Amino acid sequence: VRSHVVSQEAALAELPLLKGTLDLLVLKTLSWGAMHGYAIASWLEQRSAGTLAVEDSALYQALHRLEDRGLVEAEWGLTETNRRARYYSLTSAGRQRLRTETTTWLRYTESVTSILALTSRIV
Amino acid sequence: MRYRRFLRLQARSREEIERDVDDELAAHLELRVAELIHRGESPERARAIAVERFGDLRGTREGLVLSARERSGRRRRSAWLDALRQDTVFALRGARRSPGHTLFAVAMLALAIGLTTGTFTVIYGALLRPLPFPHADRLYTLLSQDSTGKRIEQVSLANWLDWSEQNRTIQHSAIYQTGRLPVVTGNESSRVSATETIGEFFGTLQPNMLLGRGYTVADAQSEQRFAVVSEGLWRGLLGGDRSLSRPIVLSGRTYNVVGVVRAGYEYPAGTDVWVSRKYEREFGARRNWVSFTGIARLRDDVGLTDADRDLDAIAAHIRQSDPAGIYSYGVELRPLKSAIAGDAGRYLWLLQGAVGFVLLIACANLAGINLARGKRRTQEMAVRAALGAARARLIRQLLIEHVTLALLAGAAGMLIAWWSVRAVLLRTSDLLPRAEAITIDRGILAFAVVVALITGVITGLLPALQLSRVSLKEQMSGGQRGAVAGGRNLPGALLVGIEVAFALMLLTGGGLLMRSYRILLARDLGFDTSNVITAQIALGTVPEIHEVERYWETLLPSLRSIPGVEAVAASNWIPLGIGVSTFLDIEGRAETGGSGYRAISDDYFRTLGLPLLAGRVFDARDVYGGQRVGVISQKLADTYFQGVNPLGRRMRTPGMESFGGRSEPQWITIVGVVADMRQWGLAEEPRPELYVSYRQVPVHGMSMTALVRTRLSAANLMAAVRNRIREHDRRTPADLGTLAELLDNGLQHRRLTLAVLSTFGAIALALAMIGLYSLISFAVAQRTRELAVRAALGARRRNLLQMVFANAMAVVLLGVIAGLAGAAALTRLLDVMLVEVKPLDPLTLLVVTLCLLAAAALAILLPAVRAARLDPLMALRAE
Repeated sequence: VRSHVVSQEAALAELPLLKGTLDLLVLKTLSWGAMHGYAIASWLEQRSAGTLAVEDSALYQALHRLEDRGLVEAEWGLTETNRRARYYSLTSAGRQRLRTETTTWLRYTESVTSILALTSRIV
Repeated sequence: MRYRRFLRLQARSREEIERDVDDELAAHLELRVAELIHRGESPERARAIAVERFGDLRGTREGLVLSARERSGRRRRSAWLDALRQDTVFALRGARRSPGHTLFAVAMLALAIGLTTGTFTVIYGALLRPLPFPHADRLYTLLSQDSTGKRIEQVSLANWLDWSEQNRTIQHSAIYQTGRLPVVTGNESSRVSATETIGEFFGTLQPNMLLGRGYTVADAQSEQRFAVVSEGLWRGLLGGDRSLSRPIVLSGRTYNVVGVVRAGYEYPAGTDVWVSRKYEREFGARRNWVSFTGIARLRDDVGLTDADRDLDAIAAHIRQSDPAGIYSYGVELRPLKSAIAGDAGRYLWLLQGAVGFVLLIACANLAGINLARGKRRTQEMAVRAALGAARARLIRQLLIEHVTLALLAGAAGMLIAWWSVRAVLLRTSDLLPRAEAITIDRGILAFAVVVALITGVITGLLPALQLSRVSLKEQMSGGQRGAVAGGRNLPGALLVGIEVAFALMLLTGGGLLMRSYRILLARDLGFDTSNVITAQIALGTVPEIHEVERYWETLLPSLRSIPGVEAVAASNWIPLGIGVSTFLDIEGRAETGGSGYRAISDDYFRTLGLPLLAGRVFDARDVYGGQRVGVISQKLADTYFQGVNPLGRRMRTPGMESFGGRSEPQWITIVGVVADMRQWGLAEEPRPELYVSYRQVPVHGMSMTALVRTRLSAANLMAAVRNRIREHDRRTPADLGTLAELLDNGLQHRRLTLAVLSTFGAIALALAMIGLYSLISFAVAQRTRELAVRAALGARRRNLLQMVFANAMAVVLLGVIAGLAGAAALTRLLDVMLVEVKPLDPLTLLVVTLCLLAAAALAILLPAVRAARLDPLMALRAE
């Protein structure tokens, strides 16, 4: 049990909230298949119904960061309109990371949510 | 997959990377603009929104370029390592697949790398390794120069005093003499190697002290005498007494022991005890008394040229004030390390060069065999190339195969290196300077690895270049199958030619040394070295003059009376040992002459078997205080008394008999002429010699060597002689040996060089023959079809044989010509080691060339005969 807690903390420390969140969202998006940067941006916009305001520059930084860590890999390809674009896809390490990060994230938000819900009742 | 990624990730330029990032961002913006327009925005507005939505475009671009560049570099490195590992694994697998070839290649390279490393180990220890003293690069020896610029290894006390007092560039300096001195402990006595020093000897060297301290000039000039002992002598003779309370008695003088030098730091090598010597100021004729070795430590802030200039100025001043000084014309500084190495450097580098040849031959051999083998792998290479492997990649893979083999060989070679170093040290450790520094350490290992790497590249490069050039088309369209191939293998022939040339050069060097050695062995020394025991004796106490005579005049008859002894004599400097030259003033002659000088007992010439040519030898008439007489050698008579009867003429020796300017040298009347001897060594020509009776110059009788000629083997009487000397006077121990040993010692360098060079030559010859054999075998195999067609068309067996043989011999002959040219250029380096043989001795060259041609013919004949025996039908069918 204890070791589990420690690894959770380590994971949290490694991914500061906003950056980490964006990385996780990108990984999740790519789990649907290879996409270029703009497709990822529009996909996130649509899925969050515009609530997640992701700046494009941050997205590209995240993509390159993930590539640095070997979680995604990129390859040049063509869009539907025959435009050359860089397509990102998950590596097996990226897929693995997505699984663990999702679990961690869900547990984390669950506990935070439950605590926040509790305090609101007392107030 | 990994391979594909490797191919995709070839090195990318900075521009390419930037273009990629720009493309990616541009695509993003375009897509967004397109969608915004699609939603009804005007193009200008759509563009503005897209840029705004992006955020910091410029900053992001830079960040992305940076990370992309790092990523590219990292991937390339890891891909490189991946491929390296793959290639190595592949190479090892390939090596296992053909164990015969692998074993041969590894064994051959191991031998060559091992011998190269072994030789380098010896050279590094003996010549290159830093001396074990602090800032040893500042240590120099001081040499004198005469008016002709000729350098004399020794210096005089008078000159050194001026140098050491007037210089501004030397931190400390000292001069010393070495000798064997008797040391008496209780009832027993023995002889030890003593170094008598003047000046700041310990301040100059700063050797590592186990105990105590070194003595200083102030100590030396006080009323007491001081000594420092070696760790060995301290543990033995002094019983390891840490308090150093017991003094040591050398030659009857008592010295306070103040320090112990740790083992391995003894300089000069082999010294057991260093003793201080009090000096008095000397000048005048004593300037020419060059009998000391000088050492100096330069100041930290001074370069060699500064020191040279400084000392030269002092020398110029000495010359002005004291024009009679012969060796005062200059001072030369030589690094102490190279002074210690001495002559050994010459023949050691010679051997290193020779072993380098062996290594090159081995490389050429393997490269040739690899070329031939490579032909069989063209298909494999073609397929690899077709699958997308770049030429560079193929070259690398082939290189790694060979480097892997070479590294394996290097590992095995370390065993050979270790063994060869051990063998050399066991036999010749006393020949090599600084033998204790000769060990295989990390530096040597690094050397071996580098040699192995270079070897791998050399053996692999040529085959790799040739093999990687294959084209798939050529290969798939049948290549040489079925065609009548000419069987030309130019690179292979070139390699074999090189091998033959190098082998010839090595054999020539070996042959020349062999001839010189045989000439030396056949030489007549002029005296008989067989069955002569030598016993070096120094009189222990400082005797009265008549005591010297009494000692020898009783000891020599006593030795003579030992049964089996034929004759007995004594001399201060015996033949083949240390010799000393002196200036000669010849009466009625203006210019000074020079000759060897030896003080001897009456029976000296009879004991050595040297004939008297005129006059008489010394006898009882020649006493101390009587008329001074001398005997000269034929050479001296020829040099200074041409056409004149030398008997009755007079000469004197200011060098040997002025005794520190305390007395005028006396005139010596010549009473006899004896035959010449090669007493300076077999390789040296006889020099003019002057002999005097030790009775007339007793100071030279204080340390002499008795010569005992025995009827039977000298070894049998060794113990008897030793006992007789000990019984005669317990305070005078002797160092015993034989003249035969002395003669043999003088030949040891030569024998070592000869043995090693001959071994290398034999290996080289064998390797060249193997190379030749495999080249011809391969060529014949390649030409099977051609030969078969010729045979089918009616060519005779003899003709085929002749054709193959002639082609191969052409290669050998070209190699021989190149080798002779190389020998002509290189044997000059051997000149100093040659005796009565010219570097281009025709006989040697002829014999060596014939040997090589005969061996080559044999190596060619085997495969050539096989080719001639070919059954045309079988051969054509096999295709």
